[in-house]
Amino acid sequence: MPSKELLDPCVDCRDVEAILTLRRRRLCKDCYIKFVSHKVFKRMEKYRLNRGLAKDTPCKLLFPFSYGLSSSVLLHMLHRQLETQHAKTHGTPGFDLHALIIEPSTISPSNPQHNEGFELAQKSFPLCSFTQVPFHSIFDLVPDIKETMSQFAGQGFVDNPSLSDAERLNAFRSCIPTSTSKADVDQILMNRLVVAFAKKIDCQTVIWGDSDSRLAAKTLASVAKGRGSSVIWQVSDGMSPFGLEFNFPLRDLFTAELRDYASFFPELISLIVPDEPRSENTLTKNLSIDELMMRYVLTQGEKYPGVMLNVTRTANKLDVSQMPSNVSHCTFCGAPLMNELGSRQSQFCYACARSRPSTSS
Amino acid sequence: MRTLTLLATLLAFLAGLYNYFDSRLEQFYIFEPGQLHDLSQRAIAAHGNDTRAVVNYIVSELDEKTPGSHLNKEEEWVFNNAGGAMGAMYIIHARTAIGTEGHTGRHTADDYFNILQGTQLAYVPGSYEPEVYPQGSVHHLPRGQVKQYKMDASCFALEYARGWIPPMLFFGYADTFSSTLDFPTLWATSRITGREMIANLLKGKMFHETITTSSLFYPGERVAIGASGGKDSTVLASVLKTLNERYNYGLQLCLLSIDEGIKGYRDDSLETVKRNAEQYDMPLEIVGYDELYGWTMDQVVAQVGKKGNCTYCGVFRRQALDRGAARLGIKHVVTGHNADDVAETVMMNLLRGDLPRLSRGTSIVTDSAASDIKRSKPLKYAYEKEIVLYAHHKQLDYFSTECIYSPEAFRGSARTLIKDLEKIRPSSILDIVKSGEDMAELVPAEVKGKSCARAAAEESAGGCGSQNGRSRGGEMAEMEKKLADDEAAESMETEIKLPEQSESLTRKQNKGGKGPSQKTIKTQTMGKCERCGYISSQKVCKACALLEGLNKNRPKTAIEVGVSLEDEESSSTLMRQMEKAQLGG
Repeated sequence: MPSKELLDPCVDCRDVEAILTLRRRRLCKDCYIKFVSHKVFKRMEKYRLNRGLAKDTPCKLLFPFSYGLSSSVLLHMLHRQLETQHAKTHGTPGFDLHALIIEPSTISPSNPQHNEGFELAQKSFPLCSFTQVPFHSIFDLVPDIKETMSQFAGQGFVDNPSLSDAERLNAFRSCIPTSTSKADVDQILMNRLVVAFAKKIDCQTVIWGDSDSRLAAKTLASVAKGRGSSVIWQVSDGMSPFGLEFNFPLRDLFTAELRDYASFFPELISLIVPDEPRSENTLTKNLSIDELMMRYVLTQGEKYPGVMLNVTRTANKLDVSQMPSNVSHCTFCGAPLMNELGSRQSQFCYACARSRPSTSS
Repeated sequence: MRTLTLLATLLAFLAGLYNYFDSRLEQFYIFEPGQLHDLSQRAIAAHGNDTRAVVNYIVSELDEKTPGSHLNKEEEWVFNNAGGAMGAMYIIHARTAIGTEGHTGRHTADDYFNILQGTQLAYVPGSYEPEVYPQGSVHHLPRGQVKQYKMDASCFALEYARGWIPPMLFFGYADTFSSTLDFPTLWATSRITGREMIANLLKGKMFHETITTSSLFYPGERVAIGASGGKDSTVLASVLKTLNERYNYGLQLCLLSIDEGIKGYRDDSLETVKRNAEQYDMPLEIVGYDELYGWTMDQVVAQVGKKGNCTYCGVFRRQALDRGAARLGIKHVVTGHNADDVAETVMMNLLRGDLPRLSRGTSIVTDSAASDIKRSKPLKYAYEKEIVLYAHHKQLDYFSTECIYSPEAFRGSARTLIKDLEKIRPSSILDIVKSGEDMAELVPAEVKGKSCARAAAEESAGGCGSQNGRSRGGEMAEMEKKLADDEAAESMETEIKLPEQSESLTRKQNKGGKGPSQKTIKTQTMGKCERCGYISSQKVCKACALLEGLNKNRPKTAIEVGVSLEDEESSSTLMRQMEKAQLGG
């Protein structure tokens, strides 16, 4: 028993005064960090212990990093695991972490160049390697994407080879009509960029830093965009149609918990680029479906965080092995073509066809 | 909604006038297309690219030259979302487009676009070169022709449609015609543009296609239409009757209604069904909860309160429909679930985490070995808005009041979400249906098999209750609480097991199991309820189990009222009710 009476002892260690409530339990700072990190620790077990993987070389993981809250927190947690791993002299080889940053200013001109962030990240997490690429490097990484883009965009878009890659990509992106389709297409392009980069540097797995609310919003948005079948790799752990494994270690944590975690580490606070505040008075019809779903998950999540988490869990229960084999894949997003209506076989899936300039509404 | 009603009334009204005016069309025309073209050219010459000035010029000149007041000079910008185009309509009929494109629709009128500013492109099916209409030119779209068109940002056009539109309504309502059904967020893919389209759409193309491609019926089949008197089932009955006659399906149709016993709702809607039965010349069978179960829904609500009564109603309805069909000797019941309902169910099951229902909620036919009565939803691909338009167009007699008891919170939440989605991308309703179909295939085999056996017995009752989600969210709050409890229990459990976990884990794996997380799922064997003989996986079917609870409470309530000495008993009941009320709040 501690010598002095504690008014509100931490329910885990019982030594210190509790400062936070975590899932209805009062905890101190250290126990809080321990609990939250443990959720991710368990999720990384496979790579830490090299389960079902080569035992002699470390498993190479690619980690797309966006300077956002959740990917920064995840990077911090994974780096701590790397520290422990490196401190051990024997044992399993564990994993290597390679962080990939798509330069924010090349995604949207409104994003500031974040070079100091890049340096800070490298300094704070010396056990990881970092690469920063511009968005338009997709042309180098995915050589056939130019042709796919032209076919995807149809008559309304003429690719001009005399322009720079950056301008060509922007020309393509600006021919996509609605905000929903734009967000959808950007998401697909970034996904393909990440996958291609992972393959280039021989990673077998991509670790995504999506937070719980983002995963729930992604699930709902995918369903609303006709991409229901793709949730099995967009929010679930396991094999993706690209031949790489996808993993989402933050799935058991609430965004509020990530925020609390980040507040304990000053280096994280200075690294994180905060999300733009969501404007409440944007008309619903001007939002993209992804934004609407994020708004829905955040507002409903205040009252029913568990229900929102459950959306992702439900999606996670879907079974990849039920996917019909021997089907062709969409040339744009890579999803298997399932239940495509009509006799005309298209190279694009139902959902991609919705976002195409000529056919979208 | 008000605009929609207005428009629909207008459509109905016009449909009646159509025959009369069609033959006398020419004499009603006020403007000559040539005159308008000339006018717009002069306006452009005078004011160049100043669109506001161009519009003002045209309005004032038209007002001067035409006798009487045909023009609405107050600028009312109406957003228009038809034929896949988003733009704004100036109600006198200048059409502006903020980078709009879409399908012109197949019109019953000739349509003239006088391009005031910018360029309009049009694509004719089969041709790869666009037709280009620069500033000052006229794009004439003849009656009945369809084109894909595109107007870039800052392209303005004066659109003039002439056809069978009664001219006295022209300027007030012209925007509701041609490609311009003007209520916001009307479904915007290419098919729904003209009045004719709406009628043909449901009857001819899509509906017939749905029926034939999924071979829903066989010739001579006897089919019961689950009729509630609402718009969906009334449209279903009307369409099925028309198609049956037109394409010789050879079906014997009849109406089957359930009387839940809700005063102020079902009694009125049943009157509508009775009228429909006469109008469509179909036999009608009504099955009442009171005769089947000895309880009306009003009595159930008096007993269990407003919260959770939908469960009773849903379970009872499923059985009642089957029993009604059996009474008629019919093996196929069709219900009026539309695309909106199905989309809502997909979203709801996702929120609820209900995989079994996710696997069967979207299938057009729910059929299983366990039940000999097949259910199908032929309107599965029809938007609710199409159904409303069809009902108005055909002036169908239907009952539009909603159930007086509130809907489930999950459905309310899903419904609000879908209404928002529809505003962003109208096709997303069908996209959700498509997602639902794909996801249904990915539901793990063991869940799928289980759900297949229960499909007929447990189909979720679609579309009950209110549109505005006025429910109190009791179910969601309850689930939230349960999930949090599970979480808390799990975390405590982990703490205790932690030291020996890895050992037990490896042991289990050595046994050849797939790991500890893989749960074995019990397979269900279907039998008959020992009380009522209805198909059930349990000894006693769900309806009988619910009834048992209800009946148990019945005498108890009586005792409490009569013998007030039983203080303990009554106070505990009261406490239970209080607890329930708190959870619901």
